[in-house]
Amino acid sequence: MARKKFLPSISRIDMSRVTRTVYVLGLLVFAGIWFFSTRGDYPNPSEAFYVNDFAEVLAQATRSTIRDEGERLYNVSQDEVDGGAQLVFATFAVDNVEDVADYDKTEIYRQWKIGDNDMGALFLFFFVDGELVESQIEVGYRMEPYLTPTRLGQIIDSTIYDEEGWGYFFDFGLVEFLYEILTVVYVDAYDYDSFNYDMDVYYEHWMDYDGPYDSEADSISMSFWMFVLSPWATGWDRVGPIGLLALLFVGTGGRLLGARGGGGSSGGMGLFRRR
Amino acid sequence: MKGKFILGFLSIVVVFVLIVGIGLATGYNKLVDYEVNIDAYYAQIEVRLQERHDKIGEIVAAVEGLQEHAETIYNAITAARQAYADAITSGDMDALIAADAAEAIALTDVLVAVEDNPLITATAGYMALIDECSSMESALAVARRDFNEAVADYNAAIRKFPTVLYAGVVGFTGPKEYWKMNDGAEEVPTIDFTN
Repeated sequence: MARKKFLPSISRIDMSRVTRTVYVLGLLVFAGIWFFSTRGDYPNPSEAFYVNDFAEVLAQATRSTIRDEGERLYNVSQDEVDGGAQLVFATFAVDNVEDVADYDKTEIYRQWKIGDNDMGALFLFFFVDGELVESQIEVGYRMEPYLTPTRLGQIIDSTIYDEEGWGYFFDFGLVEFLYEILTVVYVDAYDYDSFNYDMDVYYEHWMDYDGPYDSEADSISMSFWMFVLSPWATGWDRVGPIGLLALLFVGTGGRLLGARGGGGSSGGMGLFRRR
Repeated sequence: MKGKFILGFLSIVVVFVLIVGIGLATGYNKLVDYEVNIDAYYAQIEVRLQERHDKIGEIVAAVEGLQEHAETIYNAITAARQAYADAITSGDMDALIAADAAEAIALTDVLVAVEDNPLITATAGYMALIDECSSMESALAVARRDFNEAVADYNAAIRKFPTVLYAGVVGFTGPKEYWKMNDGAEEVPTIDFTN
């Protein structure tokens, strides 16, 4: 009679099952993060943060200029008293001018938390069939003494709404408006001697512009997640990039994934203009 | 055996007391936060009201012929400004709410009078003042809304369990009064400066 062997059972971990589980869990976590990060009343700001062209009316050069100037202002004002100013632009497409009432500029400002130390401004432009119908400006609490309604009115009337000047084309009027606002912020709020710009020079730059825009950042971000969540990626393929990302995220205060609001708030001051 | 039972019982009592204590402290701190918010937003309304009060004075000064050709409106704005000054002196919230409504109505009437009456003219800085007032009304609306939301949070908190059991004992009597602009007939009109 053959002796019955005592052999512990052996099995292999079904790696394909583990991979699938990790993949599905990763997707669920990703979907959850996306779901809860977009639960405000208004859309979240873009990764570029300073320019949010939801109406898709701005040229690449204009978007790029707004973003670059926004980042520069934020960075150079960091060391100033009440530093960390952020100027954020957004365009929205609406069916008719009455629909503009659905947007609350103060709520959007607070949801996006613009500016460190309440030093910020939000510029909203509403379009019907590509035509500007209304502009609204919301100013952060501590920016109120510098960007007063009178001053904002003078600036917007002499730039965006000046069809005899650069305002004949919205993008140029908008950039001139940005430069005028920057002049006020640099000189009055942060005591710089001057902020010099030349719209003729900018016009040449605009015409020759062929640089990238923030969609590049979007694609990097998306390809990163696609790689990490891919069922073909091994464990270390996932752990490595995510760990590095987490370290960089902590190290940069969360700004690695794009600029974000400095935690600012506002109280309804600003400007309304209807064309 | 008996010692183990007592130890177990005491452990449960300690944990229970800890949980209740932490709950009470958290609830108390929340009430303090709500009350601080109410005070801060009330102060914000006062600041905005003062700013509008000053702007109305500048608007009246920038409009020529208001007293001669729209005496009723001129008198209404003078009365509203006086009511505001009296309310500030008395520190009475109801009086301040009434003055807020009266100034808003008077301001609207002045703007309509300037637009409709060719005998009334405005100086060069008038349009800038309109921008200032438009912005001021927007800021006041936000300040009132913030205040009322803070009051709503507080009023809800003192009525909820378990806060309702001890809120009155630790000095949080309530409910607090809202900034009601449409009591009676004094409803503030919507001011549309966007055209």
